[in-house]
Amino acid sequence: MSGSLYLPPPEILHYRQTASPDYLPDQAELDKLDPRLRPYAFVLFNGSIGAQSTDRFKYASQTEAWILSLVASSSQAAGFAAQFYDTMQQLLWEMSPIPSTLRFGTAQRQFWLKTPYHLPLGGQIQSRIINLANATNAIQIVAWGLR
Amino acid sequence: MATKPAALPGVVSQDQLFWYPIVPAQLQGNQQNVAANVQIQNDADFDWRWIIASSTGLFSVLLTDDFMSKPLMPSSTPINSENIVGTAQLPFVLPKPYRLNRTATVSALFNDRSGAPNTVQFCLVGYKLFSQR
Repeated sequence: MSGSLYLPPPEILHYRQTASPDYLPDQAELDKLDPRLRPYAFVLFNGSIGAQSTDRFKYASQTEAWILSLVASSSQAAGFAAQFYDTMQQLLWEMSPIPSTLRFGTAQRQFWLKTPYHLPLGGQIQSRIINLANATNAIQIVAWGLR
Repeated sequence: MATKPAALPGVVSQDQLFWYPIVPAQLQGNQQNVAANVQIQNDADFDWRWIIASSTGLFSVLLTDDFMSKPLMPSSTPINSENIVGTAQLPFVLPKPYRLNRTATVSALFNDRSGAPNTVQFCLVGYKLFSQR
């Protein structure tokens, strides 16, 4: 069976080239997941935060899910800092809030997780978001994955 | 000697790289819920792998696979363009290829976030699975 002549395989990131497997989720881990799972955007935070202020949000999973990548957008260049807590698994994702540039990718260059993160039915991801800008900041944090 | 490209999982040589564009009417400044859709052609199922779009300003979008009645995101929260679309050079890679059945319709609701007229072209890119007819 020959490959397509049109594009490189999807597991090759154009900007990582042959180092792509170092950044993408482990294929063996993906193969273990139920093939009926479909892509989904889990919105971990969506809202505007006043200058230098903090806001909190809670994402509750209505199905069993797996997170594969994290992306975020911010209307202010100064960005924001974020910290997450998985209530069901009692896992803090960071020791302290981490600046968005060190934590998230964008749609063009996603921050891929090496191992799919399991979010069980009824699982909750709580977030604490700190606006680092001196102006109101419209922030959206999306976890792309499967459910 | 030319080397043969690596086999792409699930895709064979007769499958065809294909673009399905969703082109809404020009969004007016801060206009909400502008609907547009695209129907998968009847000649082959579609293995959707990437999202590529261009626009003249920021927008957000809500996508639904009408055939399966499956939204790809919470119905109450459209996803910002920065978090869902790439460019031809750096396409957004779906977490996993998404199989769209022939004649399925993908509908989209667009919202302008730029405050000015916004021309959006939103493309579903992947492979027509001719090998699985």
